[in-house]
Amino acid sequence: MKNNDRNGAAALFFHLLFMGFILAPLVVVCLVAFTPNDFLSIPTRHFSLRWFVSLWGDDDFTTAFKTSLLLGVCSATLSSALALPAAMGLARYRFPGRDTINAFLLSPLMIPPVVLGIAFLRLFTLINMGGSFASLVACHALLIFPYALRLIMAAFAGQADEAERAARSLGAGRWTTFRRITLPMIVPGLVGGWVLAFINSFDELTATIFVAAPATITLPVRIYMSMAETVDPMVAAVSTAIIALTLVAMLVLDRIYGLNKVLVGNH
Amino acid sequence: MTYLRLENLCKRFGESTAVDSIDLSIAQGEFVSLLGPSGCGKTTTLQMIAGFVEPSYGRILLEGRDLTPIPPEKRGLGIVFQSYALFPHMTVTQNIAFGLDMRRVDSGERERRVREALELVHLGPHAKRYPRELSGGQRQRVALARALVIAPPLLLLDEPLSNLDAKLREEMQDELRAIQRKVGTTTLMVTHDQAEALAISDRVVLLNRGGIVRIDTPHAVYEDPQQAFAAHFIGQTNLVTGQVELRAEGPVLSANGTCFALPAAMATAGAAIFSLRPERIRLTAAGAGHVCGRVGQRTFHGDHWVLHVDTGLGPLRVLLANDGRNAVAEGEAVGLDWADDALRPVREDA
Amino acid sequence: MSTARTNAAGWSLTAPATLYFGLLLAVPLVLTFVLSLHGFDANLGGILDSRSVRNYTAVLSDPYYYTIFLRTFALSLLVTVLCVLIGVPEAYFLFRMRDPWRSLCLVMVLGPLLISVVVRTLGWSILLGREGLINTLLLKLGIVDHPLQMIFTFGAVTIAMVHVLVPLMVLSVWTSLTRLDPAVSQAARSLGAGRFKVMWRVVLPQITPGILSGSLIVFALTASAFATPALIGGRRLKVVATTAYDEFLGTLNWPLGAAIAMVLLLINVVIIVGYNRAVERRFTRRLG
Repeated sequence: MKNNDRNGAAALFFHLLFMGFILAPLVVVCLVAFTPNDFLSIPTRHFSLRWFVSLWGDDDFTTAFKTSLLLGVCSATLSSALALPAAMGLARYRFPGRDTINAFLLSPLMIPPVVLGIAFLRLFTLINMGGSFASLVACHALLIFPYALRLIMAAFAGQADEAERAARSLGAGRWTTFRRITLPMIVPGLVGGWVLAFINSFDELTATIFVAAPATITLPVRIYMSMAETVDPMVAAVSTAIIALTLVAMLVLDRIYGLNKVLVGNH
Repeated sequence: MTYLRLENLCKRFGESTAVDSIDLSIAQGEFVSLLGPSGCGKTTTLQMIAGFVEPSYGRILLEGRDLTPIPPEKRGLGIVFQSYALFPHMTVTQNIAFGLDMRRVDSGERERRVREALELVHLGPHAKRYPRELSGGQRQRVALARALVIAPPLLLLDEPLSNLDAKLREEMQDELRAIQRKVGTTTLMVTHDQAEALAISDRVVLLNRGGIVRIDTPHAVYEDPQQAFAAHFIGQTNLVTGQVELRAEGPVLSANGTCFALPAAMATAGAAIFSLRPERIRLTAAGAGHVCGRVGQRTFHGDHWVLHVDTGLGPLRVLLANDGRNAVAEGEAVGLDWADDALRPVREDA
Repeated sequence: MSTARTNAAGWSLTAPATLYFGLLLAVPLVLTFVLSLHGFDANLGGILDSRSVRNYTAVLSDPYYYTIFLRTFALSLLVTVLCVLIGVPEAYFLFRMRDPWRSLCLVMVLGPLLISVVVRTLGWSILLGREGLINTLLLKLGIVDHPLQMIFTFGAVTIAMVHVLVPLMVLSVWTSLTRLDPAVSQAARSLGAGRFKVMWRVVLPQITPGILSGSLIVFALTASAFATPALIGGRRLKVVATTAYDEFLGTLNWPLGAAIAMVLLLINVVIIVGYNRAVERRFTRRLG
């Protein structure tokens, strides 16, 4: 009876092939990063850290990394700050225009990043802010907003509603209720939304290519530019660092919010 | 002076009327149930008293004071929500203390009152736990303690026992009543479970489609339903419809070709409906009693039997206490008898 | 709470975000549209002041752009079909797994979505390049004499795009699967249906909305993809997004680039909105 419900051998084989397909490129990148050679190769006998060392010394990449980090923090914070009241309004109240505003605020997910990049570049050139760090923050905040909004809205859909009513019945005013009851209850969603937004800002490539100037190049853009010229193990090393960081971020997300909930949603 | 008075309370949502002119007076210390099927307006009424829903019309007077313009946080009522609505990020103690926090009660007195509340609901050892570590019944008691610790003038309970399983529900019914008696707080409970309302309350307010059908003590509402809906909703009943004919030997109810004698007091001729409770019907020998019939299906329920008897008046449901012997077999012919006051006239539903 | 206060609360809470979006999303898109109506002449110093739809007619009639649109469409279609073929069975397999394997595999399949597309594409670059790993292996094993041309082909772009987007298909189908009532499948089994029949005739029809919505996402994202076609497709295999880039930052013909971007946006919106209307309505009626 147990066997009937589980998967057969052929299905298992397919599954392993699929997992192999998904993981192969990433595994390959990580392996190549440790090669002792000058060219792309998989390290067989010696694992070397030479490429990570040169990465550490490479100004272009380290500056790009710092830019990406700072950009991620600023845009995730701005995004979350805008998303918190918006999520509350959308989740709690029925008002005319609610669905339209909801769709509008989630629209960056549906608009091709190329189009957004071009649109931003046009705007910032016109107001003479092209390439500035502020303009990058502004457009990243917009691009990652839907991710923050979704998670924070999910947090509000929990039982915060009734707990708030209980608090008010016990004498708490509106501000006290928000501060002592609502906020603590939505903190996991809030922080989770921030982290997810940060990850998406850090990863952002296409729109950033249009908006960034040589002084404000982010890490993905730097990698892209480097790949367009030649593919060498240094790029693999950088990418491995990113993969490692993403794994850490995933652990953090799991602790605060639950990774499955972030990836799949609440069901 | 009435303690709590609902004066002509109405609530309309667009085209539909949820609560239609509720007039109710409750004395201090009473335990009153708002009973009715879903959609009857009982929860909306409670929410209006709590202050979360604005009445379309009418007033709510507590000890003569009009509550209607006052926001929920200033009303000072104790509320137990259906889902308990405990604060998940606070311990049991902190949950209970919250209302006292809001009232700036000093820490010494606050500790004392929280301890008393914990004792009252028998949760002393769980003071430092979080809601997620408690069972359903324990959470319900925390919600109750939290509402009572502020010594409210009125306690509102919104289907407090509906999330508990049957056994636990029975235990909690007794405990709830005991606590209320001990503390003496005037209590208004919303429920759809008629057995629960009958068991706990001093008075039952039966609601249907936004309006009050019946207000009385549980026993009175059960024995004298006065309306067909009340007879059906509370307990089980047999509704016998027919024509009252005034004959020489006395008034008689004629239905489906069968007829049986009515008590002399029921002397009005015309169409009538009567409610006859299953437990008031006695079995006699075939041919004797008010009507005769044949036993159809019978089911055993431990402390009683339920028999479906086919008679000239239609199928009648009969409840027999279990006296240890096997009840009469299916297919047997029997006579059905009942006392005069077992037959209650009821009005048609509006 | 009264209706007036509810409305005020709703509007005031969403106002900051809505204003921000108005300024930074609506305005730039409008500006881009206006830009696309301008003319361009490199010899005369760049963007001209004239207004016309000449750019659009150029884009929609020039055979050069035709090939690009066709290629992008073919790519999107192929990638979508492949994602369905391998994504749906995988989602079903994952769904029937038991924990702890289930959660682990789910994270491994969906986790890459959190890694920048550049990194994921790099892996394929390394594997498929002329001096890449697969070629090196094949040469070493003596299977071929000279390296195969794998990168910069339509096939390579397809594979890389499938790799990037199949997790989204799995996610969409997974969501559909979690909404299934397991008792329905059990009822089918009790009536005599074998495991395969159950999947084919009971499960598949119920998860079709998930499959279609996943297909929509994959199709739309492939049609507007930039980085992967640029890196794996190379200079000769242009798609719509890379063409827009060329015009904008290559030729510096901003108006034309803007026009291509607007066409791409329109295609996306039409796909998404039209699809939602047509298919979902049909399915909500049937499945409730």
